[in-house]
Parts: sequence; C-alpha cells; structure tokens
Amino acid sequence: MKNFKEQIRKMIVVAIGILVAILPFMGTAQSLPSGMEVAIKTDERNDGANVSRKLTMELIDKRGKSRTRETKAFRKYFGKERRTAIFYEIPSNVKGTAFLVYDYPDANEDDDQWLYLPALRKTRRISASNRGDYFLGTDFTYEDIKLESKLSVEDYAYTTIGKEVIDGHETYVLEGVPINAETANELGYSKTKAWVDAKNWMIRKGEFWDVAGNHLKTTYIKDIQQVQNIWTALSVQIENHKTGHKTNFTFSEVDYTTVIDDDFFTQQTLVRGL
Amino acid sequence: MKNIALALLGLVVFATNAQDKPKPEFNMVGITQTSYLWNDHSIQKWEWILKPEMEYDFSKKIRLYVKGRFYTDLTDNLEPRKPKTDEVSRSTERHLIGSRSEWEFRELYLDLDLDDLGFVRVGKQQIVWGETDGLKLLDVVNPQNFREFILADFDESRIPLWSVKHDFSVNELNVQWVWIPDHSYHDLPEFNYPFFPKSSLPPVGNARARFDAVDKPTSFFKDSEWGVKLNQFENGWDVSLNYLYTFDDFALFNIQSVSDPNYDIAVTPYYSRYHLIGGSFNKAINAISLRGELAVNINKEFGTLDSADFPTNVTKNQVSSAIGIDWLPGENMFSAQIFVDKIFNVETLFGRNPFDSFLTFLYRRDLFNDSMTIEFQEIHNMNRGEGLVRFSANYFLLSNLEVMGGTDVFYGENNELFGQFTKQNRASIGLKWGI
Repeated sequence: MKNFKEQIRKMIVVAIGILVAILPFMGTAQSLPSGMEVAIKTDERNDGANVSRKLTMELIDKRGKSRTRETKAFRKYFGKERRTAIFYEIPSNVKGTAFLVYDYPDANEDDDQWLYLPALRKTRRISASNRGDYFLGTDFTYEDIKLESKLSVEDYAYTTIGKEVIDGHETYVLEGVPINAETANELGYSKTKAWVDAKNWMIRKGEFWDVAGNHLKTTYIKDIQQVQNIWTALSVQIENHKTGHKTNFTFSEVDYTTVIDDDFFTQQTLVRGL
Repeated sequence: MKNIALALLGLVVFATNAQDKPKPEFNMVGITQTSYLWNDHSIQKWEWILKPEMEYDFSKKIRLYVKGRFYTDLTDNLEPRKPKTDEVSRSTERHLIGSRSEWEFRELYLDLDLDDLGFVRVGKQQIVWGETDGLKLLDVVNPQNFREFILADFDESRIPLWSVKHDFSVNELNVQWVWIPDHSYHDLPEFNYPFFPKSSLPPVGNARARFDAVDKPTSFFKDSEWGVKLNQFENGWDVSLNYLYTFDDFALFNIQSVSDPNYDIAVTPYYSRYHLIGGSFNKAINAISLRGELAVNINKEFGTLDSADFPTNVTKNQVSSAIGIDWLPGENMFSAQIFVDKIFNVETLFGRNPFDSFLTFLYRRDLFNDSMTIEFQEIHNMNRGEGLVRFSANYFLLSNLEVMGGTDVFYGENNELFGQFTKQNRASIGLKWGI
C-alpha cells in the first residue's frame, strides 16, 4: 500500500513536471494565429479596387549580367474577379508584348490568360495549368505574378510555426504545403515559407521548395510603404538557388485612386497597346 | 489617299513641334541580317533595316503613331536593280533609293478613343485576323511582300494598307468593321528574282506570250474592300465570325490571242473579287490550347486547265480550314496544325491541286530565363510531299541587343510551291537592337 501511494505521488510529480515543461509552449501556440487565419488576412488585405503602376524588371544571371524591362501594369477588381494586364514598353525590341489574366473567384474555375506577341501580331492563349511556369524570363511564376503580395488560400494548407523579426518588423512565419500532389505539380512547389508582417499583413520574405523537395527560391520584399493609405510593396527581389538567376521588381508611379477603364483589360487593348 | 498621307504627315510635324506636354516618344529598332546560300556558295543578302517610330498623344483620346522603315540590301541580289511595285498603290508603295535601298512609312495612323462609341484607327496600318501560324486563312486583310517568299516575318512582309478600323462593343459582343480603299495586292518578285514563284505562271506551251500591264481596280469607293469581325469571349471560349468583301491578292491571268507579228497571245494579269465568310476559335483545355479557323471563299476565281489549250478562269467556291494545338510544358512549346483546303467542282488547276493539305509543326524552347530561344519549324504539304524546314536561335547579349542565327531549307520537286526554291536554301546570322 505504501509503495502504491509512493508510486502515485511520483506519477503526479512527473505529470506536474511535464505540464510545467510544456506550458510555455502551449502558451506560445495559443498566442499565434493559425496559418490559415494569417493567409486569409493577407488575402483580405486592402489592395485597392484598382491600381496602375510602372514596373521595372531587372533580370540578372549568375554571372551578374543584367537585362532590364520597363512595363506598365494594371489590376482591377470586377466584383470578386481580379484582372491584371502588363504592357512591355522598353526596350523597343520587346515593346508591345502584353499579358492579360482573368482570375476568377471560384477556385474550381480555371483562370484565363493571354499573351500578345507583337512579332506575330497575334494573341496566344496560355493554359491556366501552366501557372507554375516562369513568367517571361523572370524568376516569378505566372501564379506568383497573379497573387502579387498575397497568399493563396485555395492552394495551400498553412501552419504558423513561429514568430521572427525581419528588417525590424515582427512577422509570423507560415509554412505552406500544397493541398494535394496535383496542385504541387501545377505550382512547381512542394513547400513554401512566408514571413508575414504581424501589423500590416504584408509578406516580407518567402522561401520556396521545388516538387523534389530542394530549396528553390528566396524572395525579399524590401520596400513596403503606404501609398494612398494602402500598404504597397515597392521593391521585390527573388533569387533562384538552382540557377543563380535573380529578378528584381521595382514599382513606381503607383496610383490607386485614378479609375482604370474596363477596356484596359480586354484582348483588344492587348493588341493595340496602351 | 495622298491627301490623307499629307494630312497625317502634317500632324507628325505638328506633334514634333508641339510646345504642350506631353512630348512625343521616339524609339528605333535596327536589324542586320546576312544569308549565305550553301548550294551556290554565295551571299544571298546582307540587309540593314532601321525602323524608327514615334508616338504622340494629342490628348488622352487622340494619338498619332508613325513607324518608318529604311531598308538596304548591300548585295542587291533579292531584288536586283529597281524592282517594279505595280501591284501596290502609289500611296502605299516603297520608295526606292537607287537599286539597293528603299524607305516607306510602315505605319502612319491616328487612334481616336470615342468612349462608348468605341475606338477608331485611321491611316496606314496592319489588320490581322485569325489564329493560325505560318499559313493564312483569315489573315488576308493585308497583302504580302513575297520578296523572300514566306521566310520574312509576317510583321515585316505584310503590306500595311490605308484603311479605317473601328472597334466597339455591344454588351459582351466585340464588333470590328474595316474599310480599305487602298488598291494594293501581293508584291511578287519579278521573273529573274530568286524568289519568283514560277509555279504561279500560267502554262502557255510554245506560244509567244506578251505580258501586259496589270489591270488593277481603279474606283476609290466601288473597288474598296470592307469587312466585319464579331468576337465574343464566353465560358473560356474565344469565338469570332468574320466577313470580308475583298480582292484575291494574287493576280489571275486573262489570256487572249492577238494579231501581233511578235506574239501569239497577250497575258493580262487582273484581280478578282470574292466574299470571305469564316470564323475562328480558341480554348484552353487543361494543359493545352486548342485553336481553329475556317474560311469559306465564295465566288472566287481560279485558273483552270480543264477544257482549253490555255488556262481559263472559272468562278468556284473554296473551303479552307485549320485546327491547331499548343502544349507548353515548362519552357517548351509544342505546336501542331493541320490545314485542309478544297476548291469545289473543278478538275485541274494550274499552280495547285483542287484539294490541298498541310501539316505544320513548331517546337520552341526558352533557355536561361528567356535570354535564349531556339525554334524548329516545319511546314509540310501532305499531297505533294514538299515543304520547308526552319531552325533558328536567338540570344540576348544585352537588354536591347539580340544576336540571331538560323537555317531555311526547302524540299520538294522544283516545279512545286516550296520545291522551286531549293536553290535558296540558306544559313543566316544577324543582329537586332533597340534604341
């Protein structure tokens, strides 16, 4: 009987010890929002009913040789449908190239994408299942371009794995895993990590792993400012660790207030240019 | 037409001198290309092209666009001496400078944004219809310069015309109507030029033939061409319906006996009218894009050998169709197209068969973040077993400087469409830069 009481007392002491040991971590877990909550916050972040801006793309190969493209980029919401159009302006030998995407709110409905090639003077339809392909020589995929600085709430399951400070800003660290193998193949990623600013829900850093599990890319959003009261990424850098290639996007002349004509987001405008 | 050109030119001068903002924007593209004929061990061409362009916004609703083209071929082999350009109207023709050089306004137009009434482009321009690559069914609004047969980019070889294009929308339906009072047709090489299409000449046996000047349409309004395109995007389908009342850009030949001591017959080229009714579609389905085109040419004239010593012309109906599939896995692009063409109720034609079919294949791969592109293309005639194989590669040395190289190989019998050019099989190298 005495031994039995002794054993019970020891078990209680061990249980209390375990509780004391894990309590701080339980407390941390409770203070962190879930991954999906954070992803939804980025997705619901106000990014303006429409926006026009100048986008300069700098493409740098592993030897440091750089090519620059200057474009004008437009985005507008049509209800919950988001339309994006990008028109290449400089240099003159690629001028006229233009890209248009209709991003539908229904996750089951494929996006529609078109690319206008001035050498052919024809518009090519691009299959939405190519969303993991690289966008016109950059290190961003078509899907990255479409999402801008948001997280996809349809394609990934997210887990908040901690908090970190990036460039002096407190961020939630999210790990995202594609919802199934088919989606992973389409996106070209088996895992992502995102550092989401805890105050303004902007992504400040991202990491990507390819479908084979290799570390593929790192992106940094270096310059985040409020433009017309909307948090805006003005400088985005991405490095492809596999190829050593880098892409820098610099946004300027950002304008959320001037209403963009619906005609900007048509194949007709793609063909005739801005 | 000349008055319109002068008026637009006046606007160019006004735009370049305008004191108010915004200022006109200038750009220029330069291209040089050298081609080597490996059969003859000789240089086929060494061309230099400068394409300056200017845009000027008079307001948010009115824009002037001007694109010039200066061309010189230092070898003077493609078009020796001064080529005739009779097929093209005076206001559209190239302006020859000596025997080696020329300049032209490739495009010169005003864009007018009429808000709810749509968008009007008036001036010298290219109007491109259709979905196919390499061969044309609906892309027949503008004629073509065949100086290099079909080797030059269509953007380079298409002849821009003085025309009016008006786009507007009725609910979800996009409407485009075009009016083309410019009497210009395909610019074909002369008899002794490398790419003269021998297969298009009417067979006249041993008769002594006198080739007379081309009989071109002359009435500004009555002989103008016009057309309508209706286009709608619905549930992922891009569908268009097209109508064009046009002239065949290839001349027909009126052959008659003459009482001339030096000739037995007179051959007079002329152009004939027909109605084109057609349509196109494209649709992305999973990983592929499907596209197609149909053109029904009603009351089109063809040269036939059915019942006479010399070709006679008959009016027939023609149906041309094409279906294509594009697959873009990663940085690769595979594209295949089948073209089928049938002229009804005719036995024998000169220059072609009543039934014709082509298969085209294109493979393109982008490398090193699109700094390099390689491309393989084949156009194969399935009836005659002849065609064209092309390989090309281009590499961006700098943001605005590309180096290009490639080969063009014709195969087939020398009395056939492609086979007649096997002596022109060539390798090319060039540079393209933007300023």
